[in-house]
Amino acid sequence: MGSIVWKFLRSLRLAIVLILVLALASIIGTLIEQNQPPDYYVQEYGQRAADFFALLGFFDLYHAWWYVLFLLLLAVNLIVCSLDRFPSTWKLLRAPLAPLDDECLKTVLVKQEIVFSGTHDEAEQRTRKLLAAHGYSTAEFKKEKETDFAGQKGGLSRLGVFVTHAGILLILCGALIGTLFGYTGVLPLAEQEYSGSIFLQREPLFPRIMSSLGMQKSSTVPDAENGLTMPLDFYVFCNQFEILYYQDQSGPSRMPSEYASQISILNQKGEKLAQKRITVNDPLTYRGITFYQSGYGRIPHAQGAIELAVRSKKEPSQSEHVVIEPGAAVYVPLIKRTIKVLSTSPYAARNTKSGDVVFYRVAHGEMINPAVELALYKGKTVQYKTIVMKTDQGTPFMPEDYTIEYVHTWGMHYTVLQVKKDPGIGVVYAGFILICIGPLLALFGSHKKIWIKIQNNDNGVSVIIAGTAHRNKTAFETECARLVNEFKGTITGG
Amino acid sequence: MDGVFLTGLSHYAFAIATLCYTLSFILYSVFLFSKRKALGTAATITTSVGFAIQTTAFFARWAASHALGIGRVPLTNLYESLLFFTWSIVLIYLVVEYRYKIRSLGAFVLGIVFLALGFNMLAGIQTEIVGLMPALKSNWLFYHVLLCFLGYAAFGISFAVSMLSLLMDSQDRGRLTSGFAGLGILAFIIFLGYLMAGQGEVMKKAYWLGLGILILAWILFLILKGSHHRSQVFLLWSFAMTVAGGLVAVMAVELTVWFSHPATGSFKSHLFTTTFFHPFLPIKLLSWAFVLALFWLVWSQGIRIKNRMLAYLPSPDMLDSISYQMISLGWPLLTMGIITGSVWANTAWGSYWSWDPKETWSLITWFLYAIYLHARYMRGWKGTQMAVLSVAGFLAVLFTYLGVNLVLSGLHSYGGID
Ligand code: HEM
Repeated sequence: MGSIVWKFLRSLRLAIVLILVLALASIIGTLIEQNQPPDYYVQEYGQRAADFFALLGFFDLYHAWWYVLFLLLLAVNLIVCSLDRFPSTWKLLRAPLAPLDDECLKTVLVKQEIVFSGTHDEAEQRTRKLLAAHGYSTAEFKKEKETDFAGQKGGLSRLGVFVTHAGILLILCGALIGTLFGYTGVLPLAEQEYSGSIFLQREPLFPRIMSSLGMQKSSTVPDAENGLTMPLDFYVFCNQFEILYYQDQSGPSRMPSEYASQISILNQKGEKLAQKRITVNDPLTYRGITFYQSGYGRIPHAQGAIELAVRSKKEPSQSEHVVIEPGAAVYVPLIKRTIKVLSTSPYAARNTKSGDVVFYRVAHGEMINPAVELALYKGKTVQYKTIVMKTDQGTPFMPEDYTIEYVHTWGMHYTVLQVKKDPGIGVVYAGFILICIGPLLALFGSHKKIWIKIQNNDNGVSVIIAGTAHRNKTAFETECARLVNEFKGTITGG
Repeated sequence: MDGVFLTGLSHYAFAIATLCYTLSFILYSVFLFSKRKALGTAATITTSVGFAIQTTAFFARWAASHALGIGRVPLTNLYESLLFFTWSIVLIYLVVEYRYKIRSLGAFVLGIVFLALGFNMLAGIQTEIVGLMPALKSNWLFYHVLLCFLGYAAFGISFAVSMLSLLMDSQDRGRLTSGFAGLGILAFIIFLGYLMAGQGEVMKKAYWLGLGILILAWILFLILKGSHHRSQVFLLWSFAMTVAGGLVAVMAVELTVWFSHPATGSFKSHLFTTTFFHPFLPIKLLSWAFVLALFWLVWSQGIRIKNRMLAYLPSPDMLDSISYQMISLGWPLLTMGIITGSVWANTAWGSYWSWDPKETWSLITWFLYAIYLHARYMRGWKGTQMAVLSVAGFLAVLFTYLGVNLVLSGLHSYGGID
């Protein structure tokens, strides 16, 4: 009974059936939109079909119990199959090299006999050199009138299959750890704002099970608007958020090139524990929790405050930063002038030849290339007016001995961070590495064995060369032909 | 150098390379049926020249993006990836031709290249070099696309070889009646599709779904019972060739239209409205009649082609072995391609697998080829079965690459068709 189950579970036929079923089932999940609200499905398929599909788990197919069951079966199949086969492969690899016997001679792939014109010793020398040059690890067996060489290489390739299969198991394990203990949350933060908790869609599986069994207190708090909130052990502070745009020949284009948030991690006392400017492909990880730049939003009705850098023309190291709200004015001691912001615009471009500034409309208030119109006062009298925009680097109309640069617009946007904890990621990545290496070993390599038998007989010395390979047999045959030629070549040449 | 100049250079070079490949396709095809060795040599030369020019074009485009201040690898949208696909497939093909000393595969491989390039020209895909959206700005993207497309190219060659070995394996094409049956079924399927498409979106979906399931069932049947049903194998071959031949013909028509009025609408809407869905009834009828006639031609002449080619073709074992070599090259590449994509998704979005349709289809493709690799260890699975599996695998590749964006919705960026 046990052996029937074992035979079933280790069989390659089961593996093929399981992989095929998983492939076919996966198709369904690409035809039906996954994880939509129930109304969507009723509208799309009608009430009856929607109910039926829901019963089969088609709306979250890849987490449906039967899909997961097939994955588990695949894992069991893999484990049993590997346990079943590994010992014999291992024995085969560890088996000491042995001289060519008649039994073996019948099964080899390549076999060739050469009549050698030199002495027995010379033949041995040649063989040693040749096998070493081809990278075989060898063993020598001496008898009275005969010397036997046995060599092998590429034994690792037999392990490629196990490496690949282990990789798949690791990935499955890592994914399981991730669903049990990991979570995904979001954290919207305005500039200069901090938070000690994040919003979760769902509590991780393991604490959810534990708390529903009453064995552990839930770590999350229900929140009326956003689902669940979960406290962190530290505070996340958003220093600044900015959107950069591509530049083309005529100036900034409407196409964003980067979203970036300056993020700091603070402790209870407000001390900085970590900080980073995160961008879409460059997150910050702190104590196993990773913060990704995932989105942003415009704070409703926000006017924003403009930060300007005023810099002396003579000594560029002397500068002063001021933050001014639209319509307001600020006195700058460095230049003894008062700067007033007359108006602002989200998207301006300067004609490079004439210096004229053109203002464009934007659809959703994107700050593509913001500009300010400034008036500079000496006491109460206006000295001059000028326009400064983000992409100007101190070049515009600056008649006095200082320049003004546009640094940033504060308080317009909030950033949206995705917060992810996945304790299984290390295991998954380990699996990734194995599953990359394994097929290379298994499919490109080959376990090759070569025997060379040198015998003294009546008319001199005869040499038998024989070899086998466990895959890529044609390639091995050409390799052997070359080997034989090299052997002969050295004889006639020497 | 100037970005505009480089962009122009790369466009011209791509066009010349396309012409070279088209010429090679014709030369290889003629070579198959004539016994003239010189033609084969000429085909190899035009292919190599085309390859060299295309390589130049690739680097010119890369340099152009840097000169324009965008600086991206030219592997990031449908247009560029199709070009890279053809480049890889020609590269691998030239290596195979050199190693195995056979030219008879050329017509089939260059046929795939021709189809891909024709599609690229006509689909109205965006060809300008524009900046990448922030999520795509990652070195992983480069490795991901590179590995996947090299893998696809290897699978493409395996597909061509498998189609050949299917043809070789179909010894008789069954009785004439089964040819008429095939024709009848084809006509019925077309008619049914036409009727159901007229009944609204739901019926149209149901039709495609049903057809998909039918094809799946047929392929499964052939995989399990293949070598006992040689006439079925021939039917599959004929259907596939009809589709490919039909596409080539339609593209030829489209090309003439395109040369007289460049940039007429998009491929998806245009291709069918000028042929099968033409408002003018006679043209509509003619298009459908053409497909049926083509099928009948392929069906009745296929075996004759086979008998003529028998002299040039390598043995079935050799074909099987090339196909296997290509899959065992392509599968590790695809594996690494999927993994790099997954690592990239994890750094960009914080999840290494999100079951988006494109991801899922790449997994399905990966599964199918994994089945191929394991099926070799099953007793009695060889020849036909393996060839059908390889064909099915490549259909999945095509669907992953084009079908998902054309038919399903997803996150990936290669969607720019309309
Ligand atoms: C998605 C899942 C799987 C993948 C990606 C995979 C991958 C591979 C690869 C790459 C090879 C090497 C192929 C070759 O040497 O030609 C292989 C071989 C093999 N696999 Fe799997 N495998 C999977 C599942 C399974 C399962 C569930 C079984 C259980 C029976 C299994 C049993 C075998 C066996 C028996 C071999 C042949 C080993 C040999 O004799 O060299 N595989 N697999």
